[in-house]
Amino acid sequence: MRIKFDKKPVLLAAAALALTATLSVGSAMAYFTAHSEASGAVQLNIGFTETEVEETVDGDGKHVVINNIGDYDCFVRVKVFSVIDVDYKPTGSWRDGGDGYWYYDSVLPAGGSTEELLVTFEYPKNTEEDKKEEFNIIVVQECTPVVYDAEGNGIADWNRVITSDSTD
Amino acid sequence: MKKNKKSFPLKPVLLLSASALLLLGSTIGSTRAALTYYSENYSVQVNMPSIGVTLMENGKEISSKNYTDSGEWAETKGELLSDMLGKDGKLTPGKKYEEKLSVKNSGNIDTFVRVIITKSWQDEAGKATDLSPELIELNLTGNGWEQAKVASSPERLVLYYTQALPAGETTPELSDTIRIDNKIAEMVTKQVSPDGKTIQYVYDYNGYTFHLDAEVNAVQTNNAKDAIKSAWGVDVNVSSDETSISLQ
Repeated sequence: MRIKFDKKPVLLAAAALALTATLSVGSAMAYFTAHSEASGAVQLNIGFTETEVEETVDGDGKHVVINNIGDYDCFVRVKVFSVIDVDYKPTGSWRDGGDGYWYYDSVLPAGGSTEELLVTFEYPKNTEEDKKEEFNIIVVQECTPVVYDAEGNGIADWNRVITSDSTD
Repeated sequence: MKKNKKSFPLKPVLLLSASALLLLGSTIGSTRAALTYYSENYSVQVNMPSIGVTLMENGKEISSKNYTDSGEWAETKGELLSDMLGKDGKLTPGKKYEEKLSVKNSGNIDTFVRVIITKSWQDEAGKATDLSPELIELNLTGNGWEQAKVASSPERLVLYYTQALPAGETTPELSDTIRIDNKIAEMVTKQVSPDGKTIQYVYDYNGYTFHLDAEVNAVQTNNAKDAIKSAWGVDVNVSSDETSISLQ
C-alpha cells in the first residue's frame, strides 16, 4: 500500500527550519559597526590675465605703470628699448633683475596697478639739429600667473611663462 | 411516577475546583514571572552599549552616525572643504590649504576605525576620468594611521587607525593639508584666432571641480579580528589585549 505524504506539515517544517537558520546567521553577524560619510568639492578657476602699460611723458622722463585689467593675479616685468641712454628711478617693489628686465616683486592683483617706474633720459648734446630728432623709448611688458611653492609662497616662474600675445 | 433525584458526585466536583484553583494560581505566577522578566530586561537596556563615529575636519564635526539609547540611528551629514578657500575665494594651484581630517569615537564603546578617501575631477558632464586624481595632493601625516597599499590607488586611499579608539576620544589627524599640484598650470592649450593674428593659451583644467569624499567606518574592539573580517572583509592582526591592529 502506498503511503501518502501530506505536503502541508512538510512545508511548514521546512519553513520553520529556514527561519531558524536565518536567526542563527543573524546572531553570528551582530557586531557593532557604524559608518558615516561626507563629500566636498571646489571648482578650479584659473586663467591668464591681461595687463596693459600706462605711459606718460613729461620733463622728468617717462612714467611707467602696469595695470592688471584681467581677472587673475599676476607678476609683471618690463624691458625698455631706446637708442639713447636711459636711467631708472624705481619706486616701491620695482627691482632691477640685471638681465635687462625690471621686475615688480609684489603680486599684482586683478584690477590693481603697479607703483611707478620712472625712465629718465637726456637729449643728445651734439647739435641743435639733434634735439629736433625724434626718438622712441619703447616699453615692453610681460606678465606671468602667480604660482605657489610647496610652502605656499607666491612666486613668479619666468622660465615657465606662457603669455598671451598678439601680432597686431 | 416518582422522579429520580440526581445526586452530584462530590469527588469530581472537588477535583474540578482544585484544578481551577491551580490553574488560576499558575496564571498569576506566570504573570508575575513575566513582569519580573521585563523589569530585568529594561534595566539591561539602560546600559546598552552603543557605537558611534564622527568625521572631523579642521576640528569641526562634519558627519556622524550614532546609535542612540532609544535604539535608533542618529545621523548628521555635512560638507567637506566648505571653508577651504576662506575670504579669498580663489583656488590657487600649488598653494597648501588646511585639511586636517580625524575621527572621533562618538559612541560609548571602544572601536577600531578606518577612513576611505576618494579623490576625483568632475566637469559639468560628470566624472572626468582623463584628468589625474594624483594632482589632488592630500598630505598624509602617518600619525598612527597606516595606509592599506593593496586597497589604495591614486584615486582611493584606505587608511586604518592602528590603535583602539576609546569612547569619546579623537584620533590624531590623518592629513594636514590639501594642494593642487603646480603641474596643472603647465597643462595649457594654444588657441589661434581665425585670422591668425592672435595667439591665446587656456588652462586645460580651468572650470573643473575637484571632489573629495571621505567614508569613515567603526567596528567594536571586542572580538576584533572576526568583527573586522565580518564588517570590512579584511584580515588584520589584533594584539592579544585587543588595543591595536596591524594590516596583513
